[in-house]
Parts: sequence; structure tokens; C-alpha cells
Amino acid sequence: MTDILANLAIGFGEALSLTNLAFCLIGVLVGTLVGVLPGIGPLATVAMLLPITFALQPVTALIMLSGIYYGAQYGGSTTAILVNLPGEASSVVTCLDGYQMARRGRAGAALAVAALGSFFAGTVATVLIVTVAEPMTELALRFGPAEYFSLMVFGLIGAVVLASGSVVNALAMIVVGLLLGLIGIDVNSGAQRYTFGIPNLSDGISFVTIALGLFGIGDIVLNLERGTDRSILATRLGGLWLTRAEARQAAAPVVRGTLIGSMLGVLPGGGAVLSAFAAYTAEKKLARDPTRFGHGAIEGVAAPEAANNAGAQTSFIPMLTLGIPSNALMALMIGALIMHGIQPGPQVLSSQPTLFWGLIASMWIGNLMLLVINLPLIGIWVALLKVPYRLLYTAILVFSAIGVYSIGNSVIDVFLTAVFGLLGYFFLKVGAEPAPLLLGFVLGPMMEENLRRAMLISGGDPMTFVERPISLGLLLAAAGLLALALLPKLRRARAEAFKEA
Amino acid sequence: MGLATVRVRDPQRLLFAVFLLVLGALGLALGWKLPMGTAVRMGAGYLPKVLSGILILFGAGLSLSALAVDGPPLDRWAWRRLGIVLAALCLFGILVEHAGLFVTTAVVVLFATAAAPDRRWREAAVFALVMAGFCTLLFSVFLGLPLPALPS
Repeated sequence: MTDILANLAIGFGEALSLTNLAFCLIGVLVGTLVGVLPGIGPLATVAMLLPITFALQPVTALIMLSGIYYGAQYGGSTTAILVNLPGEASSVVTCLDGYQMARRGRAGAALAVAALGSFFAGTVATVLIVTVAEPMTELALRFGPAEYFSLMVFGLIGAVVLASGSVVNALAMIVVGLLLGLIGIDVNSGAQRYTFGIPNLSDGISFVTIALGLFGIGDIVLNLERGTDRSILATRLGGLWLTRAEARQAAAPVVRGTLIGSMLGVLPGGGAVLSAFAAYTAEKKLARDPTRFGHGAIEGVAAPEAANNAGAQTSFIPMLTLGIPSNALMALMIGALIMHGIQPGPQVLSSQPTLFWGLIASMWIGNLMLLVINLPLIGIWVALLKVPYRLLYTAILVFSAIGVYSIGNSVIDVFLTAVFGLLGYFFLKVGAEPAPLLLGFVLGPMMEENLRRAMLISGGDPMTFVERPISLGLLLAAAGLLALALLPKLRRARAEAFKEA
Repeated sequence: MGLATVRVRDPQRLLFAVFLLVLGALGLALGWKLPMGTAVRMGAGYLPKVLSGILILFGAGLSLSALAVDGPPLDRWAWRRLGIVLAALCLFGILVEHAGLFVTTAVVVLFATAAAPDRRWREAAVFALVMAGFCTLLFSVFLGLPLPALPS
């Protein structure tokens, strides 16, 4: 306990420095902004701004980039409630009851419960990260290369099973990502792999290029072709305060949503989106009168909004303690660490304590900032919704181009982004989710390294992966998850869980 | 029932499968000369070949299932919009080191506007100037990124 307090003291000492506070504020403001705006999400934003954070201290950069992620969870609910459009994928379910509340003149109450629920969830999630960080790290430090390899296999499989869409397509996308991750100079032998003599490729393709191409550019074309309708509902907010009855109704769902989100965020493939869906489904199942859902039930706003924020934050746990990303955004965070010269993994806690605890402390500070800036500034965010997409996407394009150019001051990265933009559009059109590709790409080099080391230690005997108990357990868990996902009955249940909305 | 009954039931899946086959084949062909090594001491070519092989297996499997199981029809591609957006990115790459950030931003914003279904050229022109000024100030001047502000 004293340890935890001492660590928090280090963390708050770091996070409360003027620079870090300023960049935390910038992060959550940018996050809220992209959360509010449909058509641009935290993933593309983090990828775009990542190269620009290069000049900052690593901890400052991470504080800002994290702020974008959880800030977007707050912003997304605003659009969902007022416009019936999910500003963010994780706010899809908030539309259902949030918009109905707004139509009945309780928009203010819906916004307030979303913000307060998110803040509660953010606080709990921060405490949770602080408590489990050290034990998780100690466990991970005992891992050898075989355990690490199996852990990554488990992470990748889990990410596939828990995400939406076809399992087989997602598995294939992982392999595509792994293969792309091999591009560059082989660290062991110095051989050039798939570099075509282009000097930029000898360090590998930058993950920023891939992330922006797949998630940013492909989406722009899709949005242009489908059109983004964003007529704002002209409602009175109806006061930002909850009635006593509303507060009583919302309290338990917030707690349950926080619990569900905290658990699902840690799982591979988890994070904000899955948490929100699961929490909504759970509330509907638990409700005495499920027919109220979809007609402005406050529980339908409180639970998923708490869950998506809790999930967004606890997904940092495996990233920080194990160096394993549980979703595409955490893959970007891993990339950010590497770009700043920090090898992700359990040693980060001991080698970079101020970064580790500073980042965690900043999350709570950031949540507090969000609570303060969100509710009073709601008018500004709504006004921003009036920016038409025909202007927004040209700005996204230019920012993306500047971002990828600044990775290595090279125009080749800009052209490569166009290539991945084409691929991203192709994947969207054939129904292949691009997130597993990014996970495979980021984990690829680490997996190869650990596989080679494990095989070297075992003298080429692949049995090493099943003879070591932790490794075996992880592989069995991965196999079990995969089997579950492929069973016809569960496959249907999984499809329904994502269709619930 | 003969060969004539073979038809594509899931064109989206088939397209994805063909992509995997092509990528796997490319991976094998381009990585052919890399040393394979042994399982104990894996060479630089070990994983490239294994992964390419797996991709080909996935491609083959998905191709077969695309003939067996019904799926949604192919979506129409917005070729013109896709082309404009990608060309706008490339235009940035071509221009930025010569024309500087101000001119490049303005040109790219204007060019990309052609992809919008509801484009308004006069509004776009104003926005292009605003963006050019904003980006130049923020990135070249304030953040000091090595992007030339003006034509060199």
C-alpha cells in the first residue's frame, strides 16, 4: 500500500509539471474534438500527431497521445446524444437511448450522466492500473522467449476472436501484418528483406504510414461515397443536472459498466468498443423492463459510457506491463514507445518509473479536465459539428501528409501512405477488418525475435513451447478461444452480440 | 451437375483470397534468395517463406469457400473519388520539398476538394488559404518541423 502511494507520488509529481499538464490538456481537447466529429477517430488522429510528438519528452508525448484516446470517448457521446450519430465507434450504443432522451428534452441529463459515469469509470480504472501494474510486471519478468512468443500468439488470437467480423479473414490479416513487419534489415543476419534497394525501407515500413493509410485514407473515400449526414437536433439541453430519480437509476449501471469495461479492456481485442456493447447488453438483460431500452432509458447511456472509458483505460495495462497491444490503438502506443527509443515490455516499469507512473497519473488528471471542459463547453463542441465533411477531409488529408512526411522527412513515406490508402479501401470493400493487420505488423518483429531465441535455446525443438507450463497454458487458451469462435453455435452468438445495437 | 455449376457465390471473399494468393506468391518469389537456415538457427528467409506459404494456404482455402458459400455481392468502387484522394496525397509528396508548405497545402486542399460530392469552389478556395496559413504557422514556424514554408 505504501508502495502504491509512493508510486502515485512519483506519478503525480511528473504529471503535474507545467509542460505535462499543458500537453495533457491539448491531448484531451484534441481527443474531444475528434470524438465529437464523425469521420475521424482517435486512431487516425494519434497516428497523424505521433511523428510531431517526436520533439517532446517521451512521457509528455505519451500523456498527450493517451489523452486523445480517452478524450475521444467523452466527445463521442456528445455527438451520439445530440445528433444520433456515433462520433466514435464506441458510442454506437449510446445513440440508442441517448438520442431518445434528447428528444424528450433530457439531453442535458444524458450528457451529464455520460460525463459523470465516464469520470467515475476513469477513476476506478486508474486505481486498477496502479494496483495490478507491479504484480503483472513481476509475472512478466519471469517470462522467457518461449513464454513471450506464446503470449503474443494468445494476444493475437484473442484480438481476432473478440473483434467483430470474419475470424478467418482476421487470421489472414494477421499473417499479412506479420509479413509486412518483416520488411527491412534482419537484425540477426543483416540481410535485406523485401527492401527493393529503397533506403527508406531498410528500417521497415513505419507503422504510422500503415495506420494512416489503412484507417485514415481508406475511411475518407468511404465517407465521401456514403455521405455523412449530420443535421443537428435542435433541442434544448434541458439543464445539465440529473433529477434525483435519474441519479438513482443511473448509479448501479455506472458501477456495472465500469466493472465490465475494466475487465474487457484488459483482454486482447478488448478496449472501448467491445466494452460499450457488452455493458449495454448486460443492462438490457438485467433490466426489470427491457422494453424501455431504445426509448430513452438512462441506464442505456450510463452503463456503456462508463464501460467505454474504463475499457479505453484498462487496455493500457497489457501495453504498459507486458508490451503487448490489446487493440490497434495500443499497437500505435507501442510504436510510439519504440520511436522514442524505449523498448516496450515489463522492464519499462523499473527503467522508466517516472514515465510509467506519470502516464498513469496523467490519466486521472486528464479525466478531471474532461469533466470540467466537457459540460460547460458543450456549446462549442456542438458548433464544431457544423464544420462540413467536405472541408474536414481535406484538412485530414493535409495533416496526414505532414504527419507521415515528418517521420523521416521523406516523401517516400507519403507515397507509401497512398499505397496503403488504396489497400485500406480494398479491405473495406471486401469486408476484411484492418485492425488485426496492424497488430500483426507491430508484434511481428518481436515475435520473430522471441521465436528465434526460443528455438536457439531449445536446440531447435518446437516442443519447448508445450513443455513449459506457462507457455503451454497460453497456447491452450489461444486454441480454446479459436475453437470457441469457430463453433457454429457460438459464432452465431458472437454475431448477435455485435448486432445487438 | 458438372463443371458448369461452378460459380462464384461470394465475390468479396474471392477478391480477398486472390489478394492473399498474390501477396503470398510475391513473398515467396521475392524472398526466394534469402537463406532459410535451420529451425535452430533460423535464417533471414525462414519466416518470410513460412508466412508466405501460410498466406497461400489461406488464399486457397478462402477461394474454395467463396465457390461454396453464398455471400454479399461486390460493392461498387468509387474509383474517381479514390483516385482524387490518393492523387492529392501524392501531389503533396511531389510538391512539398520544392514549393514549400504554404503553396503545397493550398494546392492539395483545392485538388482534394474535387472528390467531394457537395463541393463549393469558392468556399474551398478560402479554406485552402486558411489551411495553408494555419499549417505553415503551426508546423514550419511554431513547431519548427523541417518543412520549408516557402518555395525554395
